[in-house]
Amino acid sequence: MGENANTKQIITDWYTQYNDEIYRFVLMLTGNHEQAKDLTHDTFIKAFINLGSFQNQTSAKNWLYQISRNLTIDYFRKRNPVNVLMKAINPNHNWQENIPESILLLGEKEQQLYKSLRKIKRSYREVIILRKIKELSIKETAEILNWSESKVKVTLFRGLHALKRQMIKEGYEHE
Amino acid sequence: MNNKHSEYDEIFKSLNTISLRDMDRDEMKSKISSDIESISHNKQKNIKLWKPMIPAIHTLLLLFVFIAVGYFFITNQQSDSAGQGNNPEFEMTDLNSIFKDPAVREAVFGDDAEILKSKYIGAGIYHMTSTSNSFLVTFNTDKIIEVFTYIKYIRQKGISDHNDKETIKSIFEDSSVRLEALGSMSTIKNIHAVNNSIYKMETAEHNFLIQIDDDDLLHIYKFKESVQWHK
Repeated sequence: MGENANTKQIITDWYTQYNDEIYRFVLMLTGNHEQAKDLTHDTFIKAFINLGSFQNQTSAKNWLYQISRNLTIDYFRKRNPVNVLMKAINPNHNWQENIPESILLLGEKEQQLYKSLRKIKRSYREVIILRKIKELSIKETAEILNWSESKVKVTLFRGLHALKRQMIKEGYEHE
Repeated sequence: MNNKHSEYDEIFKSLNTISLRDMDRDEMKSKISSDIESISHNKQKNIKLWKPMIPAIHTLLLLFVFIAVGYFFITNQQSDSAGQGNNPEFEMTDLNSIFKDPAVREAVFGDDAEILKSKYIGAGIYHMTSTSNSFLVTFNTDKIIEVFTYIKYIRQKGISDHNDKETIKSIFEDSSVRLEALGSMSTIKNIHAVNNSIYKMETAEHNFLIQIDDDDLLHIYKFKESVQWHK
């Protein structure tokens, strides 16, 4: 019973420290506030269930990022057939362009970048979110994505180019 | 474009200010808390359910191990007491039942002397000792029992350390040895090894089994009779 209380306390502490970081990361990946909330919740529950397997080889923050990333990938895999069906029903609606309210409130440039970010490859998107938005180190990013540090650097370089091309394509010109 | 100073750095920074609304944060916190409670409760329930069964499972496992060891021990002991090692083709009880009948014993061994000892010596061959003689009895897959009667032994120095088909053949190439050991000078037609201490030898007149022991002795057994075995 004592062990359980201790585990619960650890998760509560982690939630207090990292809830915004995880939510923001998942929101940038999914573009859906409700879904981001659910996946953030699932991240902490999964951490509670698997706390026994958490070894201090990585930080708690990175471990939570890894869990949330895996959950998000699973979510997209499961959602794919629905997307295909929805596109078939209404081909004119762009299902990727639903912008969360929190981003709408930030301004036009943020909306534009967010829209472009959603249209580039997932690997580019992930590395840009972690390195440029979350400002994590190359080492931390490599650990979360399970990549080498050189892969992080190369993918980020290519990702930023792809983002720029997409921004121009969308009609955004940087002053 | 430089990785370190992207032209979009300001926008990236701005996007990093997004946070959960307090209401959402609190709602999620209480949901996580209640889900953790529920998971812990289920865990405890499972432990409570299984805990009383653990001694019973241990006892069952011990019982199973005990039965397995007992079975292994008993079957091994039966096999040892039968003195036959491990012959899949034949059971010692079959052998005893075949030769229990005095009429069969007389037909096969030539008298109705009682069987004193039976021992499996490998390659489907049993060594049997009756009150009047010794025999080698072979069983083959065609269920034919062949009985060889002990005649005599000859000594050959070093044969127990080194024996092979050619050595055995060279011993019996000497006609005087053949006359002494086999009771006849008829030539050897064929010799083959049954195992590393028993050879089967055919002459123009008879078949023999030659058993080599550790004392450099070659024990000669002459074919006497064959019978069909029905289990």
